[in-house]
Amino acid sequence: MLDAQQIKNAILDSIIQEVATVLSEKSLPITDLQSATAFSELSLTSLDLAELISNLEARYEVDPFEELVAITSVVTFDDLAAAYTLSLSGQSKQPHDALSEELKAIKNQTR
Amino acid sequence: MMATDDIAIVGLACRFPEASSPTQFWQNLAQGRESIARLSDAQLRHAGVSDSEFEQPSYVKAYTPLADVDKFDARFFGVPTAEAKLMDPQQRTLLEIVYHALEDAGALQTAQQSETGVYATGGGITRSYLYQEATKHFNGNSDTGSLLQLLNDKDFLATRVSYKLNLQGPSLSVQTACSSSMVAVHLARSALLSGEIDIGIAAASCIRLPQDRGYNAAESMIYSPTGRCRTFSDDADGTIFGSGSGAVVLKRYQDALADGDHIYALLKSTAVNNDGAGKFGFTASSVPGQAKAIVKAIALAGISADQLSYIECHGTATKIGDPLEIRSLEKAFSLDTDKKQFCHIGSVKPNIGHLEQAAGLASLIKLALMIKHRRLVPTINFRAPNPKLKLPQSPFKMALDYEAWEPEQQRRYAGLNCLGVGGTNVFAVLSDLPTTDTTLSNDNSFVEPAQDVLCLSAKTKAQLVEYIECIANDERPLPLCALAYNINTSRAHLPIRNTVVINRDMSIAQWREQALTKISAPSEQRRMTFDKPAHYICNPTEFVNPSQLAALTTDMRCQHFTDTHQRWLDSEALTLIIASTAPFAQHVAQLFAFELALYEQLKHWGMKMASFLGEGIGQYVQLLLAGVPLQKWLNTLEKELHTHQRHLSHTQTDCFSQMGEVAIEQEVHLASEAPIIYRNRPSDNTTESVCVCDSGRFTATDLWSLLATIVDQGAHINWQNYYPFNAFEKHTLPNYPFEKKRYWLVDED
Repeated sequence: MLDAQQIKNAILDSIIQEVATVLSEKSLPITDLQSATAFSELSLTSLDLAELISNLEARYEVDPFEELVAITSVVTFDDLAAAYTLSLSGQSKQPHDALSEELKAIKNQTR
Repeated sequence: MMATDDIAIVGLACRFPEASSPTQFWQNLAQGRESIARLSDAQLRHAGVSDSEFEQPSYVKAYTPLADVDKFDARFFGVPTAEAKLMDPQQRTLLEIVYHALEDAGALQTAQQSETGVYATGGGITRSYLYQEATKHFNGNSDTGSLLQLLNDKDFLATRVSYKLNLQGPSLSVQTACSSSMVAVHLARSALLSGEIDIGIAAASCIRLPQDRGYNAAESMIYSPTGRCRTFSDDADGTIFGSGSGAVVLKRYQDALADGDHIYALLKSTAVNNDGAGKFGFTASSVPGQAKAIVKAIALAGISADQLSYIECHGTATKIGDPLEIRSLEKAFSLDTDKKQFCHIGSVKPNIGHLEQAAGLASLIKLALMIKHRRLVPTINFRAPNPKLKLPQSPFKMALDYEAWEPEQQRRYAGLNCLGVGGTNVFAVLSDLPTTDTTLSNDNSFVEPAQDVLCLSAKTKAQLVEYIECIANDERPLPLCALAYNINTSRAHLPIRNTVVINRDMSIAQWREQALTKISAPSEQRRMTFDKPAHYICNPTEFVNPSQLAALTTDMRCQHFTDTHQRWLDSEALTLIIASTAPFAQHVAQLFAFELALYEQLKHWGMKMASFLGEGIGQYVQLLLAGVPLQKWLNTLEKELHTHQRHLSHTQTDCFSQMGEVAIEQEVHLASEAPIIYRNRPSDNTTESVCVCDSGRFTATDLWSLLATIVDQGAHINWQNYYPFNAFEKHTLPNYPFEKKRYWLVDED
């Protein structure tokens, strides 16, 4: 059985592949795409990103945006791969996620 | 009442698609109206859209119709025609909207005397059709300081309002895309709480021109390809952008209570932040960013999330945005509660489209009206919940009906979420008034007067007639004295005036009749104006009787008279006159106190006086006022009183009027052009003048007639001094009817 890291690497590869496809469809230069690449570095429109998400959703049959984007901030390819990994592991509903902790701190500071 | 950080919304105004006023906007919301119109090919061609453009399948032939974007009352605001045509309609409309909001707050006069801050936002320049047209006409001169720049750039949006309405607090334009207007509200609130300002105006104007050109949905995934906004619905496909302007007037809650303001709702808290870098891209929204603003605002409001019974959501109806917004709210609520489906959610965007920079104010005005009316209104275009929202497992349920808003908790607490591309989020918490405070405002002992004056004014005669009709046709007319108070204190006093002496039991129809008759009466030839200081000539012909005195001392508007009268009676000079053994000495002392108090009362009401001159017995009053020592003239007065007594048997009145002729000679300087107010109509009246009392015998009615006369002739009355503090409750009344004149750049003159 594959461990989480292997799953994540596989997902990362497919993200890079999907991004390359979208870029080539738009005849945009395919620069060095790595796990640390931020989506905002690419000349992708929101429409392109939606297409990308939709393609990934079709491939993995999960939508991490429903739950996980709520608690993680997706900036890089690696972030997105991590979100899919977590979605696929079925552990998407962690009661004590980092965001909730941060929100509690804000609430306590404000009062 | 405990000191709070609550801010009161005391006035508002708006012009939204198919709603020219907050009243109409509310009716549309209650009826679940969708103010989106479809465009014919002919309209599109007229708007400059080519056939090849609009024949594309992704082209959406729809828009949100906002009336009168081409119209402006340039004369009212003193804007030359050429500039009116060149000025961005967003800025023109904003001037009118802010003016109406201040009228609604009853703060048009006080705003100019207070620290009043203006926080305004406007729609885009780069997409401005008018700007592009104007650039052609002005050979490209849009450089710093050019007319084109000054009349269009966002930098001048707030400052032009401050200049035209003479508001002297901070004035700044606020731009954070779709959250702009709620950031403006936040800044106004912060400035109120820090004490930097006393009145805050948050205003927004976003008008897309030409309005009726539709859009190509393929250009961005946020555009709805069907031309409708279906927030939170399973068939939501994006948003349609629209046009509108709105403004709210804010005050600290304690001040609003003290000023007897009409309060729509309380702003309990606002929180603003930015998503920072932690998201997909610059244009994406972020759950952590939103949730942090929500948590902070709820905590600042001092409530728990389960006390919220309604959230007005940003609700752009985009596939990604809607679920992220619900997730953010859910995340914030989860700190306080795990209750499901207890809080209603809704959005105004399906009704009027997404008003971009003005979107937040559309939400805020909707929510303020909901709180005022204690009603939920339907979020329209909702078929079934978007499954990605997972509403059944969330704290939220859709507001789909026009129904009473009766939360389990006694107070109505509501949230307002507002987001902007670029990541600046705002969350606000609003509430109704605590029930203990609502009856607090009207506890004074003010007795409704039997008579008053009602001064309505406009820039032109035609507008004055229209204004009278607007007021007379108000659906829920106020009792006339309450109406007079509201109009006199809350409206500007403009050059063309109509002042009617009203009686307590007059109907509004009778007032209308009198007002219109007065306008149509042929105006007297060249009349004097009372906009500059007047000479006051004191020439009483009768002693004062107790009922005349009582008419004033029992009138709450004459408190200053009562105080001054007593002060003079207690003065050393009058005490000595009263002690005199000369005949009528007490009557004379009473008369002198009365005359001086009357004069002081007129001044207290704001009448400007250049001089006080005595004629006849009034010369002694002048001596008193001038502080001439009594020793210099008491003997003369006593001699005259003896003479008067001897002559009483035959020519009574003549003697009285001749009295004072031997008083110490005084120098009289009358600047010829200044108007004259006589205490009594003089017998040989050749100069243009008005008089307090026409018949010699003073009655209180004379005072109101005098007021009506000189107000009509330009006198400035200080209505805050005139009325006792909070004499009546403040009410929303029909606004000033601006002239709807078209100013359009491409029109031929």
